[in-house]
Amino acid sequence: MNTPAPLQAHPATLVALLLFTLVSLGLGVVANRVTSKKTGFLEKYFLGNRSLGAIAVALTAAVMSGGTFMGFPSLVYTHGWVVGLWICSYMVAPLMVLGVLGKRIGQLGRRTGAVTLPDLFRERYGSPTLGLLTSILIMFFLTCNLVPQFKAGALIMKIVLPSSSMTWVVDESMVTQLDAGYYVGLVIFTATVVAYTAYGGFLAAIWTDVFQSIIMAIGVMILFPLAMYASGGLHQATLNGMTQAGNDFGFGPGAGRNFHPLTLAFSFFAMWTISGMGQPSTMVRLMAFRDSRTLRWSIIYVTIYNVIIYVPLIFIFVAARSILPDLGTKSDEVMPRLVIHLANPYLAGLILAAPYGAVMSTVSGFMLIVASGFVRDIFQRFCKPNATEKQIERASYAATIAVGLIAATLALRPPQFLQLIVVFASSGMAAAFLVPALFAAFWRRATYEGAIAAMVSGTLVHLSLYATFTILKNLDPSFDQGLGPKVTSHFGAYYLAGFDPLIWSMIASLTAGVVGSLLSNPPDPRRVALLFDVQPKDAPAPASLDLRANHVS
Amino acid sequence: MPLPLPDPVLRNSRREGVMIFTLWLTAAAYCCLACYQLGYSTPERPLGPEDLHPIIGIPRWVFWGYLVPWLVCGILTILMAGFVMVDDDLGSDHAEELDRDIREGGSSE
Repeated sequence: MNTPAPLQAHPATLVALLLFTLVSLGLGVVANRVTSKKTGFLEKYFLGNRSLGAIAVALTAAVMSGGTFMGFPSLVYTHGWVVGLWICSYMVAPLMVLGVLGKRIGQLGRRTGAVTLPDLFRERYGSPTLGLLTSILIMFFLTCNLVPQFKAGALIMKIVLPSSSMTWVVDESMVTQLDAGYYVGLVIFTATVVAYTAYGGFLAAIWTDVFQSIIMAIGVMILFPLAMYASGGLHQATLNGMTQAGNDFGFGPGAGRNFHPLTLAFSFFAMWTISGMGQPSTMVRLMAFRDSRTLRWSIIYVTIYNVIIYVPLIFIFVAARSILPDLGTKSDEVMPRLVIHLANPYLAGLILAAPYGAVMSTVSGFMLIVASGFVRDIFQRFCKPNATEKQIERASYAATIAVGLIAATLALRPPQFLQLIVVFASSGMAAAFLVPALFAAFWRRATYEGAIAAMVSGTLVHLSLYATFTILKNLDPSFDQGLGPKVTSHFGAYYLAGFDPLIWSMIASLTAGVVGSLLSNPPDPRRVALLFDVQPKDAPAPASLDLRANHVS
Repeated sequence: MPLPLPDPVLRNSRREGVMIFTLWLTAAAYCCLACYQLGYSTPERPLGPEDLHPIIGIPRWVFWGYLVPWLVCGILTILMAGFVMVDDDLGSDHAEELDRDIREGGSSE
């Protein structure tokens, strides 16, 4: 097998990326200027005044990140058509992710006045402990997720930076030795994303998300006919893939290994929909949309968008096997390589801006959630309850910048297993937060003890199954269950009975939540009535209920 | 004393949630089983190029296993969001009350 040449883009690609970066910075400035000054700073900065429209909710809920453009194409290229089954639960994802919890979380967010997910849990269940635990788990999982995203951003920037520019930073002989391109890319990426997120807050993150989603759709529409023409059509591409990778390129469970047995097929049908519902970033958006009509339209838009994006992506990267045979271990680079191979440099720049934008928007959303957890749930609640608006504003800017710098510092020594950590963190958050959220919305008998039990059990089972793999791999470096994508690192998921850890952690979380709630005293009926029964227009928030109780006592 | 009326948003969300979950479960069962039945190679049933039976270039098992369901679910989603889901009033925002509570040190457990 030939070793593919190192990937280097045309300078025009850099111009396109710089334009993209400038537009993102501009959106940050505009977002800061246009948000109303009437409401509190926290609600404006972290929730965009609950004013998101249908297109914004739809395109930011399209669940795209760096993985959409780097990891997913690589899987299709390597394992073939079965990866379509791996991702196809996106056919019901919009309804599941936005439709099941949407209106209730939107309503509870308004009735409780919550600005963050910990706020929401704390007010719904009346438990500061639960609020604090939620904050800590969000910070842990999202920090895990931020580091590989920073790495992805730096890697894309490295590809497009001309190699000669590295000599501005270090001596020519040290460029390769130090991997200077990665560090220069990391600095540029960090400076951009921290600047527009810190300045523009939630709305800047949302608008950049919308902008990159549109660029992405344009990119896929351009790439699709080019790939079909170059490969000689889908049937020819499938036959070529089967010749190169084996007959299972055209069938399940996939080429090369037992990539997608029936147990994992079911697991991943649950994974993309259920883990999508349980993400704090999703729930924050569900607290931020304007009204029910907005939610309904956003479900329709995202359904159409997913069909436009994901189905062609499957076709394009099946065809890529014909166009770029023998990528071997460089299959992670199939997306940028295909774009550079098929499109002229200016068009390639436009298309390559999409993964960069996807990473940027993911990072900005995560940074704000971690920062909001720190400002609202630690600084304001524990350190300085009487903080003025100005102090909260300064703390928010500082926290956002600090989160970005910490993640960038950790990315100086980037993890090798990028996609694995993203899956670990995303499914971990679903294991921790989905059952408490479902109970909060639909089960009036749910108690804070039950919610804590659900959160802790889900997290522990999830961590245990990843720890099991790590221990077994350390004891025997050749350990491989033979399922799913091949794991070359010492970190990965242990598929108990062939199912993904998410399935087991959700079962544990649900069971512990039900048992914990039924074994504990029923929740305060006044709080439950405020959140579950018809209320007069002037009904108070649960927080006011607490105040009255405090004053009476 | 009459029982309090459940909130209409809760009632509608529950009903819509059950419908959505049913659609998800049906789609999951159909896609996994249809793909396995039509397109999974096993030691007892090895599949080769002659088993592709392409439809507009796409292997038959892919076409019927997850592309047609994707289209059907897309149409059902649009019908559901467009005509079945109800526009509920989500109420007014109590963020200021919560903020006041935090400033006054309110908490409960």
